[in-house]
Amino acid sequence: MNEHDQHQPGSFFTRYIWSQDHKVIAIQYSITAIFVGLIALGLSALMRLQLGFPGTFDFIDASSYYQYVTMHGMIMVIYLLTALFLGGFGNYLIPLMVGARDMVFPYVNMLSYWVYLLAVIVLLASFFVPGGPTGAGWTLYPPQAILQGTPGADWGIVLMLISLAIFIVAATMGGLNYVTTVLQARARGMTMMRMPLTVWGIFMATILALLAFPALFVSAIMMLFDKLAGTSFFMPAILSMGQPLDHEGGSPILFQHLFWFFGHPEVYIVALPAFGIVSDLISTHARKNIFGYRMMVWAIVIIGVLSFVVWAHHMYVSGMNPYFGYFFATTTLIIAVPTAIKVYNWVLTLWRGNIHLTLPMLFALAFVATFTVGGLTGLFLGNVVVDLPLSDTYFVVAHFHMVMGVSPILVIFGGIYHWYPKITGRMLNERLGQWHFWGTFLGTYAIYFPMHYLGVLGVPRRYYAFENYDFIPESAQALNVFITVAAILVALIQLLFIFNLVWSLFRGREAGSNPWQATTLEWQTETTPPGHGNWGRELPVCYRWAYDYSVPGYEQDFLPQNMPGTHSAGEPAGVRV
Amino acid sequence: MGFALVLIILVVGSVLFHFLSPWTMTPLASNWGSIDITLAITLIITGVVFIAINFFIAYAVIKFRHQPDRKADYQPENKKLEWWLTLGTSLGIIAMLAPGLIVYADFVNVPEEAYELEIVGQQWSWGFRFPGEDGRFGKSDIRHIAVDNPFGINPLDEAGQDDRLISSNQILLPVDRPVKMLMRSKDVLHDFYIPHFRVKMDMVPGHVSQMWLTPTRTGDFEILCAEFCGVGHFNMRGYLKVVEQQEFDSWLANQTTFSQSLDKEKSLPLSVQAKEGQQLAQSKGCLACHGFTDSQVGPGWQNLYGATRTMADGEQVKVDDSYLSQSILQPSARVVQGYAPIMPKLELSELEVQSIIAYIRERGTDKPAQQGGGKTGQDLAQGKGCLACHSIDGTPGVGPTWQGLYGKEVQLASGETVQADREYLKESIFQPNARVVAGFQPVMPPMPVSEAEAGAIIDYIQSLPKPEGERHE
Amino acid sequence: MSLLQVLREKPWQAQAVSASTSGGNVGRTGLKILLGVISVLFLLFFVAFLMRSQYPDWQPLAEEPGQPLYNKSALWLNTIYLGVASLMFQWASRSAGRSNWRTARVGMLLGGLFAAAFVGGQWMFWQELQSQGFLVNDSPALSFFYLLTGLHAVHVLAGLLVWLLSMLGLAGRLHRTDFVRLCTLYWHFLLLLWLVLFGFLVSKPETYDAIAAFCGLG
Repeated sequence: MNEHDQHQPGSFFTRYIWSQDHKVIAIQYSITAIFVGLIALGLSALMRLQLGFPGTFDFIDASSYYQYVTMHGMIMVIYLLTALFLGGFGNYLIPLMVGARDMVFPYVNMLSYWVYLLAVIVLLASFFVPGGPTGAGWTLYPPQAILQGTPGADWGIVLMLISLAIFIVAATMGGLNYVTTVLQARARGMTMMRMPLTVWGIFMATILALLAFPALFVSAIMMLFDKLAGTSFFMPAILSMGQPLDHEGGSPILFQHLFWFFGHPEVYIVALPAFGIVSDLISTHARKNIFGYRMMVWAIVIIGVLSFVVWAHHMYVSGMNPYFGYFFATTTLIIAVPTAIKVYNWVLTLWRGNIHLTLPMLFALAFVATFTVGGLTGLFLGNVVVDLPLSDTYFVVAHFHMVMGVSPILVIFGGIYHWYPKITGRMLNERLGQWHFWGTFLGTYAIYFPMHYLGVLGVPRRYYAFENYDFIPESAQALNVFITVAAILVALIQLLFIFNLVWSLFRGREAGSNPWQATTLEWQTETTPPGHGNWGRELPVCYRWAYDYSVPGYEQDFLPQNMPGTHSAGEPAGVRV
Repeated sequence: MGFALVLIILVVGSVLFHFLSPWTMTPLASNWGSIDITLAITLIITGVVFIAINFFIAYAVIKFRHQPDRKADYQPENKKLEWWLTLGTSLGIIAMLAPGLIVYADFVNVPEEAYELEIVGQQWSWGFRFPGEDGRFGKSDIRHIAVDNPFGINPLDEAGQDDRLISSNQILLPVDRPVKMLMRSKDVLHDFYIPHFRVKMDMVPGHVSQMWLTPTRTGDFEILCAEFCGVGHFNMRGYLKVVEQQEFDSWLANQTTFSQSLDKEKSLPLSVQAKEGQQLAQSKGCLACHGFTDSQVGPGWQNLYGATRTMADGEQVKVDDSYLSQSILQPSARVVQGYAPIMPKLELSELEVQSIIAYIRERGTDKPAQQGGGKTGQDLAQGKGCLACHSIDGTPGVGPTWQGLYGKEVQLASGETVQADREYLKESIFQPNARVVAGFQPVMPPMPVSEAEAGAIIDYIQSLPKPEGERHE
Repeated sequence: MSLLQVLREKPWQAQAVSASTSGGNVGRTGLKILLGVISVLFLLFFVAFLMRSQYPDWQPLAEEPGQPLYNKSALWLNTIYLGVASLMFQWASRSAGRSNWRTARVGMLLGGLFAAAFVGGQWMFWQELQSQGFLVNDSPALSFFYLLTGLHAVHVLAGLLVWLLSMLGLAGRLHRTDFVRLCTLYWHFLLLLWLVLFGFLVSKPETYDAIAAFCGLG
């Protein structure tokens, strides 16, 4: 990529709106993602109000409830988490961390944001069409997703499917950028293994996205055909509301295979960037190299590969061939091994470290604690026979919220507290941050830890109400009230964070160029925030790996990656217990 | 420091929560205790890891917190430690997976001696079918589904004629016998789930899925749908009662067979409007909870129109057009005493409501020339199966003998004594388990007869010759 | 360097500063990745198709007269159009490599026109099928036919859009040889995809059975 080819922005519009600068695009992605995320958060508050206080809020009827459930889920998984980790963090950090001036296809990168925005608009439009948004559950299973009896079966589902298809186009455009930039635009001396784990996590996640989203695209297009053209890809001969339909011969289970072939890698598309970011947060704030860097990279790669062969653990009770259960239970429990290694390595990084309990560190540690819970409950669900009583109960809801909704969100917060000074030149307010941290960490734990027990009891998910069921004790309703109150409080606490983001932009303490004294390249830019083209006249050269913290024989406890020279400590000593 | 403390409290609190909370698995009622054991193994292994990791973090955060003179260690990797950790984790995984797959093999391999039961799901009710004496199910297809053939059984298939059909959301099963459940759906995905039995399986339209279990204790259990199936998903209730074999046998014998159901519907002349109502009552799922016999789910429609019913608040209400209309459009407004307010609200037009009311009125009312059709009480006692349990000559049976019963003083299970007069006998026919005679099991099912037929049966009981030496009014 | 070699490196150890990775043909890498994504997309469709073909109600498309694809001549003609388009792009590519820009431009123009002819031909074939009463929801095989040929045509159209923008001088600042080479690669891929698709859609049921059995989809 010829440096002189860089597009020099001119007007306000080309600098901040139609910008091809990866940093601006990252911020656009992030603001949009957080915006829809707040909408989804509001929807979850409505859901919890119904569950905690059934009968009190008349406007939340069964139809609306299911619409909230569906939109909350889809927005959070796809439009917030995926877009924020890949389009937000990926776009901002990759070029800076690998020492490039920008992404390799800046024009396509810019387009990817606007196509993403279009996907969001189409999705939100479904709130305003006759029948409202789809209420089919975020998994959109046929036949019910396109039949009367499910809310939004006329227009809502169509808009949802179209929005997803548009999103996939955006994700592909972005993904091409992230992968090609990492492979082909690294600075001199920046070998793959000298890249920080943040980049590895996002890189692997992007590969997964490129290979897995087609499966969602396939199922969305086929479902659109079934709905609009009367085909029978997924629709067998059935009745709807007592009347026979024209479809015949299709297979609902085929949809589930396609959906989950996408759906399982999707959760790793969310988790792998979080894994990468957490490694860098812990390492920087404990002033210690990440323990077992190579193993961490291998684990990321192995998890990525294995994530394609575990999908049917979402289908143990689907009525599929029962012999598949043996295979998928085995692969699912195998994938737990590299994941566990990563957890060990994070905590071993703390061992004999020099731990600063800054906000990024707090969020990172809270991630490890909550991800451990969520990952361990995954072992219950992955073991096919233990899944039989737990499937479709609140145990599943608690599990996936812990691993998708709590842990990665904590990492997002930690990452924002960590990189905000680089993006804006100012620190986020510490006091507000502390309130935000404790409220969020303890609040989400209070919501989701007890929820597992409702699942163990057998309380099913996707139920609008639980009245008049003898097997559910009165006390379970008390627990529902408790969870609702905690959820509302956690939602409100996020307002502190939003306020902090804006307030600190104007009144935050000046940060300097490297307030955390980190080694990675993004902190070594000439200006903060980095200017267009990132590096000034000369591109950086990389002389060392990303984790030269507390290297013996040096005064300062960190050596930036672009600092020349080598050190004599070639081989490490063992763990001194 | 504070963080470490909070983490320790969180871990200790979580462990305490686990042991002290009232929310555990529902008491097991099937053979799948092995699942509970596997779950317990998983819990122990994961519990240990949960505690270890978090305590390690807490310890590290305290011991290695930043101090001005502290310098962190520098160790890029430690192959030996990583290798041991990998090995240990793999062993832990195997320790969970192995028992899990062994128990799963049990689940996949259905025992030979299991009898078959078909469960049919639809939005939003359950249907059940037994294969009848020939032990074979008749073939079914969506195309055969009609008002008089809700299970879609092929009327030309010999094997289906004796299939026993239960459309009323409640089913009995015998205890201690393995049952293979073959499941299908008429419309969307559903899932048959009873928490006490542990296992569950989706019901897929266009496909037959299966699972098996053995109920191991008697009792009443609620059936839940566990796969999202539309707005009525949370209210798709069913009831399963596990009973002794004998009670099950006599109950099953009383269930309509497929051929009987075809006859029954054919012999009813209904007005055009009532026929429309019949169609609606089928397709909207009304008949799943309201039949023409009493059930615990919803009041029966037999002799409902024009009768008086007591509401939950004690009010006495005459069941007329306006009450029925309100019950359809605003079900929770006035609920009959003894029933839970679980009827979903239905979207129906004025005309549709009227046609359903017509159906309730016509089908559910005795027309002396129609119902009973000149059958004597004796014929009825024979045909309805009463004589299977009640003898007429003093022989002891499942139920009290009818010899000398009319007017006799009988002692009830509750200790009370009551005179077996017309009132009591009528109650025993329609609500058999209300007042059961001492020494007899409460196994008599509510009888599907009309008022006139019940009267004829009671006349017959009254007419039976008394045993020697006893004289009653 | 192979993947394995890369992953085995111990980055905390000193090593010579290597040359930067940039300057490699990023456009080509990006396009290859995109082609990988598109391949995965169609592969998944093929898997779904194979699964469906094993159901008892499957009716093939090209076995007997009266079946929609029995008369394949229109499809062969379209195949020729696409083949010629590829040839034209290849010719343009070689000309550009020799800096013979006039012939390169002619090649590009003809390539795009023949590709457009392909899309036009497909559209006409669809119209023909519809007029014969072969609608999209008639049979599962027919549904797949419309879906797969439709998606393939969409990808050709997307390429044509980029081609058009560049012919009008509106596309980005790609070096002309690079761009021509990328177009050529893309069109060769679409041709190959079409040949596979065509062959697949008109296969005998026995072929589907054999592939399905091999992949364990029976």
